Amino acid sequence: MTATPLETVLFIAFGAVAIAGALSVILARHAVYSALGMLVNFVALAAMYIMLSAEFLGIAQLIVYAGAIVVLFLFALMLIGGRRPAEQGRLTGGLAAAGSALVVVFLAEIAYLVMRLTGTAGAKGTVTPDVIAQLGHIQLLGATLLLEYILPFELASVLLLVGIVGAVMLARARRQSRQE
Amino acid sequence: MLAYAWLMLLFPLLGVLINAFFGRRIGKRAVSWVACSAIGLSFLVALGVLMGTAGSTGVEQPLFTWISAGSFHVEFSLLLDPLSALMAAVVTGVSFLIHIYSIGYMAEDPRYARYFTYLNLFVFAMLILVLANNYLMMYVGWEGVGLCSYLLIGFWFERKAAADAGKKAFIVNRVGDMGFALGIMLIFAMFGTLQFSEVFRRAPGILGPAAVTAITLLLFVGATGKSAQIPLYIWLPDAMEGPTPVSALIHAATMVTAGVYMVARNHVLFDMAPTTAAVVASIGAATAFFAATMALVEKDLKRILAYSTISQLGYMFLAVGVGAYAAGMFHLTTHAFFKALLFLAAGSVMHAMAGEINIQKLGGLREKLPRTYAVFAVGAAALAGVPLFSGFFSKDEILWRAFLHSPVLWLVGLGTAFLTAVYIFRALFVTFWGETRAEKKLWEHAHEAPAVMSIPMLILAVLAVIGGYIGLPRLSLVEGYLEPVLHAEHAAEAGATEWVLLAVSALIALGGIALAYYLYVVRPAVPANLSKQFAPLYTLLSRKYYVDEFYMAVVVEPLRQVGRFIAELFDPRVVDGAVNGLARLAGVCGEGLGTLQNGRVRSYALSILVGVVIILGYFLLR
Amino acid sequence: MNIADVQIVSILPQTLLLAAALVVFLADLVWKDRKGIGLLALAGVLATFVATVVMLAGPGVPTFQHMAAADRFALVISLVMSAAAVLAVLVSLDYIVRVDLPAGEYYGLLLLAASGMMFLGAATHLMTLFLSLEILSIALYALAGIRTTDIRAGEAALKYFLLGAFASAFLLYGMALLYGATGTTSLAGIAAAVPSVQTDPMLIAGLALLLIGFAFKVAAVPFHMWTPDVYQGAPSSVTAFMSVGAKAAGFAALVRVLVAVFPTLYAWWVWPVGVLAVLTMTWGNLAALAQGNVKRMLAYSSIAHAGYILVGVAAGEAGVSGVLFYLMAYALMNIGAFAVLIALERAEEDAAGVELERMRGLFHRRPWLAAAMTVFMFSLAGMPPLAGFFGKLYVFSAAVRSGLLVLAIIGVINSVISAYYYLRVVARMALAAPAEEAEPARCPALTIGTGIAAVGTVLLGIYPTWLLNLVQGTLAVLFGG
Repeated sequence: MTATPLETVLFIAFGAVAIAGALSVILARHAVYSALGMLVNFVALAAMYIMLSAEFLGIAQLIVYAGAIVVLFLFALMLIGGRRPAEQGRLTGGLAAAGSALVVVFLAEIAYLVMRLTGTAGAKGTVTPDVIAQLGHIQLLGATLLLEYILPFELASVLLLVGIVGAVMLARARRQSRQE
Repeated sequence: MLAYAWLMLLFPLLGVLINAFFGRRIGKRAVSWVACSAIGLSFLVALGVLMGTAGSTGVEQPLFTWISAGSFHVEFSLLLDPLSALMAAVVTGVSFLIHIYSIGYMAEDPRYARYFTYLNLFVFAMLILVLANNYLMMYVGWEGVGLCSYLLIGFWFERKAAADAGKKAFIVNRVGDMGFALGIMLIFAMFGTLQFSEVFRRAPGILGPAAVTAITLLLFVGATGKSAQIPLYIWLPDAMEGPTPVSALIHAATMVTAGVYMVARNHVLFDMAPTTAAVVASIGAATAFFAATMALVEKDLKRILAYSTISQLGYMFLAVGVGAYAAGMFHLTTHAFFKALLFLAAGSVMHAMAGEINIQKLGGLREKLPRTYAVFAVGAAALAGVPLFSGFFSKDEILWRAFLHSPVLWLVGLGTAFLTAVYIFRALFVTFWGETRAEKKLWEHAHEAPAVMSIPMLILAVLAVIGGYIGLPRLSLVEGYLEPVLHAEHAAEAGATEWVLLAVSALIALGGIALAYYLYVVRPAVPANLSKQFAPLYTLLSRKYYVDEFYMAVVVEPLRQVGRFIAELFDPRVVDGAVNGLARLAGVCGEGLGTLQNGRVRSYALSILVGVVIILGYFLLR
Repeated sequence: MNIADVQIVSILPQTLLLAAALVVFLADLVWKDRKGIGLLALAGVLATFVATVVMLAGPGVPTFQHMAAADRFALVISLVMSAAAVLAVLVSLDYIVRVDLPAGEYYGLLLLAASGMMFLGAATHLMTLFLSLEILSIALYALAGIRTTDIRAGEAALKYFLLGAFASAFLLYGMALLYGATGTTSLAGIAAAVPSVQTDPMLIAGLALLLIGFAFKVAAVPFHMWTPDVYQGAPSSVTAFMSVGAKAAGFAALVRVLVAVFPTLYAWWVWPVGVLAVLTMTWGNLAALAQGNVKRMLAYSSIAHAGYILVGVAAGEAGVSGVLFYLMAYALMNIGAFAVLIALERAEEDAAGVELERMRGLFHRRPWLAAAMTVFMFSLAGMPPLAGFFGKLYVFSAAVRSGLLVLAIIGVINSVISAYYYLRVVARMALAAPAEEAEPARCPALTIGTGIAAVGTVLLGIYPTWLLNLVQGTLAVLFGG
């Protein structure tokens, strides 16, 4: 199954949008704009998932990330007051020049890598569209997550636990120190 | 007797354990009994082994398997052959005498038990080095004696000079050990074993000329560290900060000769590498000469002896470098006797004069210390190579072998012999003859050492005289005894040439003594004038050719500077100075990234990016 | 596949740690005794240690669904990790009360980090690899900043977090490329596919980026910049654990990926790894020379040790057992050294770590503590017959055997340089003590921890055979048979 030209163009376009969204997250001077940039990024990613015939994943991405998480971010930002744009030190002098040069070299290397890729390079995984069509997304995903990938699945929950504990600990300490 | 050879190791180890754990409780008397009897018993075993191994080509006595993992197998075994037996006997014998001497010398020291613990530990480590049947054990012993040497040089660590000297010895030795360690790794990589007998048996088949040269050169780097040869000799003079018996035992008689022993032990490899052998001989000769020149102007009695030790070790390397391993071991033995004697005598002088060691502030001591004077004179005569004293025979043996190998080496050796006679008799005359220059109080207080100190000196004095006869050119006990191990090719039959050379070196020694007599007894004003006339040369010598300064400027300082540069420029501290407290804390927490705006995280990230770009580039472009 | 196939026994040590972490979190809610919670954590890590030993002694255990192996390699890493965790908890029991740290979070995160490290050592799948790496990283970010009253800690944690995320991005990118090139995320699958797609640029780039990600974790130069700040800013007990655990885990993953998955590309990766090794050793040692603060000196020394271990990695298959041995030796001697610092540390003055001057006279005040420190310093410097010596010996001689003589030479030169700054600590301890010095802390757990580390360091040197046999030939079963 090869992609039609239109599909290819669309895919690249969504990719570009996703990158633009990601860039705006880190470049925006106001936190709310950053959150919005993240939203753009998530939506574009969801579109790419759908184009890759991972429809369920795409929908989940829209609902969970674009819907719930970004909204949560926005709520949090409103609550703590995103009035003042964060003071952002400008990159200056040699550091900026060196940084930009290195980024350019890095991108050039990636470009070189892409150029050297032959059309036949790469291997296909086992989950082909045929398999998906046969089993259906949700069943496939559920079975994969809870059987074959049960360990990574559980590890992901441990990871969340670690993140929560760490965040709560640091946040609580901050509150205490403010109260003092 | 050979079956009990492990007792030789056990006794000192027991001594270490007892004195380390109970030393403070059992009192000085018991401590010295434990320590001395441990070494005494060990010496008896060593004597038994010495007799038992006569004529044998070596027995390996496995004690236990140390490491056994896959192909890596190391036995903890003792190699008992004439070479190790001779060395072990010298080590334990001299150690025993010095232990006894120490009872008197260290009597007033508050850390008495610790001193004897270290001393026993040293003997234990030294015996591991000597009796090892493989490189790994030898290396462990090698580092062990280095550690003891460090501990004992810095024994009076309250004195900054002593602490610094200890550190210097340790670091410089590490440089040498680096070579030794690399040599061992190369051997392991090539042979897959570290056992001497296996390595030597298979060496001709496995090693090409380049490999054997590399290995032997690396081993020799190790020897230059431990045995204080050019370019690593600089630690030994400073090591004199330690207690004098330690200087006698470790830094004259035994540990510093480990390098010579190691080369002799590896003679199979060194014989295969003529280039290395030439390097060894040249470095030995050069060290012998330069160290002797430095001894000429030194004022500190112990340091004169230290330079003399370096110089004599040079002779030994000259010997093993020209393939005369037996001659080298012979000189090692006689040197152990007379140099230990000289140091103990120097210690006796210090004992009498409240630690004064500058020969310019002594003088006339033969009145006050006749016994010390007598034994010092015997030691000096042996060192100078006065005929019929031990040093004469062993040194002559080396010179004769050097002559056969290369007349240039012989000339250097002969010149050194002359200088040797001059500097040691200068020390003798200035210290013991003439009018005293000592402070009045000290002078009146001066007294001869107690019997516990003078008896070991007397025994060593006897050995320093007769020690040479075991290796007389006609009898050549040492060479014959070592023959099964070293397979020394016999030198050409001693003909007229040898007798002529013998006479020449005898005359040289006597000439040196005569010169010293003229300069320091008959015309004491001359040396001062000379040093004024040749001021640049004198300064050069008294500043030891500025080698220490050179190392400081070329090695130590640059390393420190680079370190400081890296540490300060690239990795600045988190928050410079002592900025802590809640004011800043509120800042960092409230503003989140606030304090990170100084660009430091960015420069860190930049450094990561540099790595990324380079590594990725390498992989893509390869 | 069936849920009944799940082999929980293969991940028993990690699971025990997770369970212990949960118990600690829950106990913290109702129990305010910090020592008691510490003892709970201690029980957990001891159980893990015992489980690991039993599993090492017992018959082999199957792989957990290609996700995590319980092979000897993984178990040895678990052994190192649980030993490190036991020591870390022992030295913390009194310390966290003294410097006033929250016990529940402290021990819980410590246990979670340890389990993440063990998972990383066992991971045979890119997915588990990445998740466990993140578990340990995030737990360590939080632990580094746990001393919330100290600005250094907060700043260090933030730096660590930002740079760690930066490095993780490269790692993830590399994994994506590997998947693209081979169509699988299981290490065994990738290893099987490598010979057929050897020169594929996607695969090569993936390998490069993976190397970069791990190089950050093990603090190889030039990915090391965070190390001194973080090690100095974090509480000493955390630093002790982090310097050993994160390093061991990172090296485990690096070795598994490079040596087991990409053996056919050895000629490709040996040079970058070798160059990293040289840079890391030299930089760490030279910078350590200039430090007047012992904690910071140990931070640089840990960079240098990462360099020595990289020499073993560069030796390829021959170096694997040396690397494992070194990691164990390093765990004992480095945590031991930190334990001594912890005994000396006083809450207010030493927030940035103990200064060299404070070591003065330790031999007179606490001879045994000073003797232990001497053992650790000499072992770190590579003096025989201590553990550190054999670590260096195995690693360097593996390099010689693989024809990397230059690396071995540079390594040995570096260990000579390092002798200088380790010796400086010993020499300072021997000097006469200033009169007004306060007593170092006395606490049974700390004493036991220091004692275990010291005895272990000596024993591993005198009788290394048992560990050597354990680490020999681990590579043969790197994917769980």
